[in-house]
Amino acid sequence: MQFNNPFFIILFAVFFLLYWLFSWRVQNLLLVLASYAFYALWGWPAAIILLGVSLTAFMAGVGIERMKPRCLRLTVVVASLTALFLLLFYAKYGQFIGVGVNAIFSLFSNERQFDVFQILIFTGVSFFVLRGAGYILDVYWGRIYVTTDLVSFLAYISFFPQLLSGPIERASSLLPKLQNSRHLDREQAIDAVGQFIWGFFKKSVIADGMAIYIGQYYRDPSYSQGWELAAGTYMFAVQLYCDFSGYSDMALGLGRLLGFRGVSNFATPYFSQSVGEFWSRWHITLVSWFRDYVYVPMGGNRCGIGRKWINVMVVFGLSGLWHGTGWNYLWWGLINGMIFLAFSWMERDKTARVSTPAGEAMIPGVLSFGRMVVVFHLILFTWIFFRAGSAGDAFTIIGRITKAPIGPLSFYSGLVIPIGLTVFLFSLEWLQRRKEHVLSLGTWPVPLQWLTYLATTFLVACFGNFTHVPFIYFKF
Amino acid sequence: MFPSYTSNSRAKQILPFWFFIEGVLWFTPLWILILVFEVSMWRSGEILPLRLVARYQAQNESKIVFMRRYFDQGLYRLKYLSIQQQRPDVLILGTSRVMQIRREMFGMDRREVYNAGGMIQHLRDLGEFTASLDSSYYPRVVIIGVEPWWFNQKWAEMAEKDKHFLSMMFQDGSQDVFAHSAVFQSFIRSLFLGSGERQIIEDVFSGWQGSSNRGSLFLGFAALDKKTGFRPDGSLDYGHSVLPRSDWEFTDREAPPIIERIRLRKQGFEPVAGLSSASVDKLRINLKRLRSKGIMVICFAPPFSSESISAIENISDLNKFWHEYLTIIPILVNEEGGTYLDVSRPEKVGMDDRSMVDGMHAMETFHVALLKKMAEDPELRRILRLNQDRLIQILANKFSNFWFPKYQ
Repeated sequence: MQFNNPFFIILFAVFFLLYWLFSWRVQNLLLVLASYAFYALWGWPAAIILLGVSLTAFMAGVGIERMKPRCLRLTVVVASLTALFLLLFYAKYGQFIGVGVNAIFSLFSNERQFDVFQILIFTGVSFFVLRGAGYILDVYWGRIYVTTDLVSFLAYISFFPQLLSGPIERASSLLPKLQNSRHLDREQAIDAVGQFIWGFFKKSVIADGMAIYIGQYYRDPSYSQGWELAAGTYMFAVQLYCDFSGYSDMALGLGRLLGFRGVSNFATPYFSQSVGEFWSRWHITLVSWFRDYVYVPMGGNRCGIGRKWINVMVVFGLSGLWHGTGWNYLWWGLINGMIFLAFSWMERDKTARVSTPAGEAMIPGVLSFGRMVVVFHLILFTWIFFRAGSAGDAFTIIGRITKAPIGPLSFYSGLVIPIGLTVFLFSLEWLQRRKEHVLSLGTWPVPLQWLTYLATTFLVACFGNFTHVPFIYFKF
Repeated sequence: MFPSYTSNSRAKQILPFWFFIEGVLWFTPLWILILVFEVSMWRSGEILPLRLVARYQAQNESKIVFMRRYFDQGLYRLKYLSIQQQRPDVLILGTSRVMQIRREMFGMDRREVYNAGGMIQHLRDLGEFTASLDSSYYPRVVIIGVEPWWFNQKWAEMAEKDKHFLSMMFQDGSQDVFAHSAVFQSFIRSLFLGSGERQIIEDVFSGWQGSSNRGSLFLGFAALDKKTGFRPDGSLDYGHSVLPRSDWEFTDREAPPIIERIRLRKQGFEPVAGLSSASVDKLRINLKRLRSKGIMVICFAPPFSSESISAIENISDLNKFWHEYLTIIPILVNEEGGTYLDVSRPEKVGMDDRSMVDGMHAMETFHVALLKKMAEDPELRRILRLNQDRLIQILANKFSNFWFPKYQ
């Protein structure tokens, strides 16, 4: 069940009323029950895996705290992380490897050597494994105190608004909130409703609306024209952003209605003026996770330029592998790494994120706008690998776009709706780029805020796509 | 109106509930529209669960006709549930081309006859349905309209993949939240944007009146509007206006016309060298299965219009297939202990193209003639308990036209 399912909204409303009747300890228990029930809709084995990951991380934390010799503590860390990442590896790559092994054995024998048994794909496993792993490392490095409150820890790992596709909230951020009473602030709650509705709009109207066109063009790239593939790639950039950030907004809105202010996962990334800035604005929690738990422990940029380059390529390569099993995802990661390094070498110390994209001016300067366009197109190039069915398809697409990037006018006249939606989206995001989300209308009178949310809901009702289109990041 | 956040802990406790009420109140226009929509859909019978439709049709003597306009008819599920409810002695199976066979043709009180036309779209359906029959219920007789495209390998490979009996027997489109959302969206768009069919606005605001009309019950907006739909015996009330004899002439009313499908070699008329042996084997297995359960089988080849048959016979990459369909299938059915009737043309039952509503759907009168042909066989007459004289009278009645016979 996804957040844009009307049935989910009804269930959440009932849960909301029940939740606020009780103290924080009972609230945590309700969160655990609701989260596991929510996840079990994907199958009870999934809920068991979730429990297994949670208990592994919890007991690892306790073990690290209680064992005094460093070697024992390290053993616990290594063993628990190995278990978690083996599970993740199995879930993502098990079938891929099984097919490969059979292919090798079939060279020697006509009989299949190994059964490629059905690998259960657990939606969200990539996310909650990182939450658990992050907790273990934070305890080991002394960044947080270990928790012995099992219920709040289970609630942290399984927190249903963030369970399936993040944000990957750190234990240091969410656990203390779970272990204290929480309150609902009316203005924040109204804003949370707006955030949820805006996320719903992005997913249902824009992302799912674009999906129809992209599917047509990308289905068989060898039969699509270069301009069709180019248009599809632009639309995919919008679809991916709206789908993922839409989910994040819905997740954050729901979390806020339960008293938790989560970490933002997107901050108008397509207005970035450098590649480094882009990666500080896109899937923020994943990027920061890889930075803090992979890049920095490997030495980061403290061990010389050569080592920095290796570390960056490793991080981007792992990020690619985290996203998917195909070679196209690895290509995506490595190409992004190379672009990042090239840009950071050219920009030196200008890769940091600025607080307001492209500055405070309402109309960006020519240079700012130019930089935004360049960065956008560099990222757009990498999205080809992300969307293509394989690395081969990606290169085919690039080849066809290069040969015929622009089509007849009649082709573009059929894209009025997606173009219109894109202009609408980016105009609003530009105007509201200082805010957490477009419908953050805190300075408006409350009745006007509600009316705006109602109007947006009617827009979703009129223009939303109500066929079952899963969130893109569910497959990761 | 709202308690201050900082005032006291009691205020903090009740704030979420006040906030909830505030939110619900601001969205009142939306709730009202949803309520109007859902209540109308319910009262009109449009979203009545199919298990209730099947139950009402089985339990009531009065005419209850069902046809939805905005949601999927759920024919697989409706027919399956009706079979479970009614446990017919004589069961008619096949596609839409058998839907005009009515209980009244067998006799006015023949409640043991049920038409499950629409539930068997291909041989995979037939296999899954026959396999589902267990000792708790078997029909005594099944009458199967055997379609030619069931044996067209190209058509069958595509058709049998997604929608089939086992995947569809539990599906009731009106109970799917996304289906409701999509129909509600059509309503909202018509209401606020003037786009799409205005009909849905009229339906939603009239559906409150409910589903009964002059003692009969019409379930679903299409049934309410056109007074047509699926009868309690499973047959389809077509509801076309009766024409005077002078106006009768054949018109292919299907879209696209059947003759176009044949000429374009699509929708069951894909060019193939001959009958698919795999499909022939499937039919044989199903016939054996039915015989092993003691069920008598009567198969027939449903009719095409003369122009359709002429087209098939003159197309080189179809005529061999057609010839095999007319020769191999009868032999197979007879070998497996069944009875086969070739009524692939209206002339075979003494009628002509005027008894066809389009290039491949014959109307009720044709099917009375079909039963009359069956009644000519003493064994079939006995098995189906047909009254041959009555069938002759029906056809001879001056009020019987090419489509609608007068039964009494």
